[in-house]
Amino acid sequence: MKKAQMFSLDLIFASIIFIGIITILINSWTTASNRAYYDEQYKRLELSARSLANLLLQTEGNPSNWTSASVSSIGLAQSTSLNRLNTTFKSRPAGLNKRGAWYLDSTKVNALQAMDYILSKTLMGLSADEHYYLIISQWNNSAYVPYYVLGMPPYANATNVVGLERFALLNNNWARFEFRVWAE
Amino acid sequence: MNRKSIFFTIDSLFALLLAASFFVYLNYYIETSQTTAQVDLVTMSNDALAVLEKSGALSQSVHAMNTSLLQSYLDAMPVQICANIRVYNRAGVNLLNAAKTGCTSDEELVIMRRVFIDRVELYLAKMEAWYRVS
Repeated sequence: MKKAQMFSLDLIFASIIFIGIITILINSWTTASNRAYYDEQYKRLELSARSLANLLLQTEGNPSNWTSASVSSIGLAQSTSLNRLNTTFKSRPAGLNKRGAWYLDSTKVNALQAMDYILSKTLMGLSADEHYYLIISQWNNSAYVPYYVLGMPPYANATNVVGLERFALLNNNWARFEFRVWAE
Repeated sequence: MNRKSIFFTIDSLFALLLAASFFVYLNYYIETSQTTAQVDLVTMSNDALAVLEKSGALSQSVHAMNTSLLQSYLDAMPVQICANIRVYNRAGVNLLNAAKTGCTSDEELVIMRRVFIDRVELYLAKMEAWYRVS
């Protein structure tokens, strides 16, 4: 009576194929989950960038005459109050006046530039590993020339960078608003 | 009897199909993320019309019947964006036409409109924007 031999050539082949399949599956799974993670992160940053660009360009902030000491919400649009009073809780005919949304207030831009970066980031709702970078350029009758640079430029090894380009008015001149939100 | 056993059964076939369909679905889910390019075009066109209206460029252009300001604005837009602006009066007559230099029209358009006033007359500015193909 011969004893059964467990270790056959078939088994070796089967094991090699099985290990190969498992390796491919694990690699595919890791790649797919990484891609899913970075896609999700990109979408989140994109949403943040859009909301923040709208917030900065089209709202006055709160209070509407905010300073770095009093700010609770950042907005760079000019206050509809000519004498820079707080108009946050007042109604306004925003459609016809030459203030409000799209009119950037250079005082507010300067205040944001001078503000502590971490505080400004927190006010924008960005997490610890998320950052913003903003370049505001002004039209000089032939091209847009950078006028303000705020925030932190993306690292070379940033995992995701979302860029937006918007248009506004600065000092009654056309302005380009290049906004980037990025993750470490 | 020396028949080799057959590993390939109906069960394994089902399992294989299930696994394959799972990976196909996963791949499809990852690949088909919604494009947001159109949203950016809408936002940018809206910005452009708002800026042109609020800076007085639209009313100046109508007043002078000259498109040079609009042309400068369009030409300074990002390279990948193509756009044109048409201005109509209240009767719907096309008064002004300006198009970004070096752009040919494309089917995938985003159209934005904005009403503005120049000397108590109402006008309509219509902007068409699209991505440059080449």
